Parts: sequence; C-alpha cells; structure tokens
Amino acid sequence: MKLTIKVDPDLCIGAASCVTIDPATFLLNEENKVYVLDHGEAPGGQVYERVIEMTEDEKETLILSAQSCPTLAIFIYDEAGEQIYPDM
Amino acid sequence: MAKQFVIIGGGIAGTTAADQIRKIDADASITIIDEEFHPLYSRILLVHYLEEKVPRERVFMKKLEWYTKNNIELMSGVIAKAIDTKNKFVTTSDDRELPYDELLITTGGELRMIEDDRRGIAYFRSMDDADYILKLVNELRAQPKKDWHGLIYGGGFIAIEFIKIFDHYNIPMTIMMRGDGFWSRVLSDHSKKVLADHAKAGGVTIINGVKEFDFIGEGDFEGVVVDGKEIKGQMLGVGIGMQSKAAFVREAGIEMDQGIVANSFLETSTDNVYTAGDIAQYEDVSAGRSMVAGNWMKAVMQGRVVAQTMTGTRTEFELVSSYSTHLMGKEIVFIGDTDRSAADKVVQHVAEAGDSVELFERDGRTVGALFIGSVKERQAITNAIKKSEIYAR
Repeated sequence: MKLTIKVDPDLCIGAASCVTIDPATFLLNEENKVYVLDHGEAPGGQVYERVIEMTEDEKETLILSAQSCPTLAIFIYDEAGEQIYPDM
Repeated sequence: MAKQFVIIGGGIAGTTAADQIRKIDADASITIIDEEFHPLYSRILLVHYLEEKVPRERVFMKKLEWYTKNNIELMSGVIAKAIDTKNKFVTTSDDRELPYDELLITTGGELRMIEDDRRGIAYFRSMDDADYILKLVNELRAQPKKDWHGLIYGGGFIAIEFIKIFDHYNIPMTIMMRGDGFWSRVLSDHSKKVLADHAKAGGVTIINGVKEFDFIGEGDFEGVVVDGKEIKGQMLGVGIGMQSKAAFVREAGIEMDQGIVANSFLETSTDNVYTAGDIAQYEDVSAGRSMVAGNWMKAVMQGRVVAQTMTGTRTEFELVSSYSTHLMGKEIVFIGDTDRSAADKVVQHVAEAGDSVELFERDGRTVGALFIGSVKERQAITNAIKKSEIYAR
C-alpha cells in the first residue's frame, strides 16, 4: 500500500521517539526537526512529506512511531487521502 | 481465568503499557487508576496549546471511546491509597479493593511547591494547570499593557515553558533563579552563559541566587519582594523541580530511593509489582547505573517494554533517551545520562558564542551529552553512546 507521511516542523520539537521506533522512516536534521525517509533513503533530499510504499508490518511500526510523538506532529494518510493518524 | 492487570497512573507510560498488554492478551482484565479527570493527553503539547499552535482538543491522545473499545477500565479522579502486596490488592480513594496478578506503578513525579498558594501562582504539570495558566494570562492581558509583567521562579524545563508562554503573548517577564543560571547544577558556565545571553537578548530579566522571597500584600498575587526590592507582576509561574514521594508505595514496603527502585527489567523489589516512567529509578543499561530520568521518550518505551515482562516475556529495557526543548528558538537537547555528579569527566566539546556542546564521560565511554544551539552532531553522539564508545572528538 502507498501511504503519505507528513511531519509538521512547527509542531516537531525533536523528541526523536519516532526515530527510535522507526529509523527507516524518520531522521533528525540539523534544525532538530524530523524529516521523512523512504526505507532509510532520502531521494530528493531532506523533506517533511513523502509517499511511501509499505508492507502491513512496516505500517504497524510507522503507526507506533507516530503514536509515540509527544506533539502529534506526524500525520499519516492512506491512498484515498483519508487521515489515518492522528484519529480525527 | 483472565489475568488481572492493575496500573496506577494513566499518563503515557501507564497507558502505553495498557495498550501493549491488550495487544498481547485479548482476555486480560486491565484497570487504570488515574488521579486526573481526563483521558490520556500529551503534557508536552500543553505548551503548544498555550502558545495557540494547537486547539485544546488536539492535546488529547486518547478519547474515552478508546478505553471502552479496548476493554480497559479507566478510573478517573481516583487515587491509590494502599497496596497489600501479600494478598495482592490495591485500595483506592473510592474504597474499592482491586485484586491484581500484576501491578504497574506509573504515577510520575510530584511537583515541588512553594509554601504560599495565593491566587495568581501557577504550576505547570497538568491539563488543569494549563487551563489555569490561560485564565491568568487572559486576566493579565485585560490590564493596561504598560502594567503587564509575568514572573517566573526556577531555572529548568518548566521555567523555560513559562518563558515560551509569556513570550508568545508579548508579556515582559522576570525570571528568578535559585542558582547561577538555567539548570545550575547540570550545565557548564559556558552553557549557562549562552542561554542567559539569549534570554536577555529576548528581553527577559534574570535574577540569580534567589533562595527566598516575600510576597507583596496578603491577597491575590501582586508581586514579590527580593532583597528588599519590590517586583510587581500579575502572575508567578513556579517550576522548581519534581520529587517522588508516593507514600503509599513506601508504606507497602516496596523499595524506594529517589524513585521506585527497579532492575533493568523494571521489576521492583516486590514480586508482581513493576514500575515505569518518571517515578521509576531503574538500572539503566546504557548508563551503567541506577537512575531516575523524566522524559517522554523513555516513558513510552518503558511502557512498551514493561508490558512484555508483565505478560510473561521478560524483556530488558535499553534505550538512550533524550529530551528536547528550546529557549526562544535556541535548541536545547539532553541525551542519555547528564548527571554531572555521576560523570568522571565533562568535556566542553563546543564553546562558540551561541553554541555549547558538553559530553559526559564515565568509565572510558560517553554516557550523555547536552546541546545548546547547534545540534548537528546529535545523531553521531547518540550513536557513540549507544555503542558504549567514547565520542571521537
């Protein structure tokens, strides 16, 4: 499945719990904000939003990492554009 | 028969554990005893709410329906009064006796408070505190602008949160610190100077070495008297640290020191009793010593790990945790073990005008680091701590 992952840099405080849980998807930049990776790679540079092809297991890890964010700065959307995290 | 799990404390550590236990054991009975009247919310997001970055409802991380859907009983506004560790039950403030097979204590730290409790004095730990601060800020802003003045007592994380709030509303402020700077017992002189210079450049007045002060008047807060000098203001934000008393834990015979003493599996001295989060004094594998550390990342990860152990898969907790904030845009990051008194050596790795990086070393390896300003080496230093190496300077 394809998921859109977005980090709001205004909310991100660099707590980095997402990096600990899902290092293949998140990494800190020099501004202490988290940016989004595609399976450990950053094609096109350090961006706050990506569409990524994921397995069910990878999705579960991604959701866990988003749930661990203390500022709820990670947003996940499905292929139809529906927000699946945080719950609306 | 379904296993009975009781969790005292409904914050992020306890709720994460409940969530994990439910994922592992669909039939378990899970009860959370929580002194607050709200479902889980993010304490870290409270300041974003006060800074008007997110609406109040966005601070909540769980809705009440989540507890129902997952068959987790949330006892809100209830306090654990006593634990009978022999017969394995918890007595609550509403006189219920809850039997347990496995008990988790995640009550967090308790605020240190000043003696006076007049109206206008605010602390900052809970959602209710945040609502009260907003009320006081709005009352302050209803005054003529020339009179606006916010006061802060303390020099740590909570003091910084009050600075953010006053700064957001353009309220002139004075901060009274007990020591000689921010985190006076943790930071080097250089780090303190970087932060103090930055705060002063942002218009903050700093008074150091304030061990005590008096209040102006007898009624609502009007200001303080420091060394005979009156400083008027409409509110006082207090952030002078946390403590872990948890009298009911001590009375139950569960070993306590700076927090509830646990091994690296988060098991306490008493069978079937576990702890996690800010109240846990646990054997930290990466630091190589017993420590209390209050931060979000650690609370989340301990909640996940302790759930494994409580459900029968004994799992050791290992994490290099970190905490981040900022002072008026100046990044502040603590990683790993930054207790100065427990370090063999603290190296001032970067000492630029606006930047400071300190490395905490023990037994020939880097165990902690703190950053003020530039964080570009954060990942590399975190990796060195994880690998029990000395960070190559």
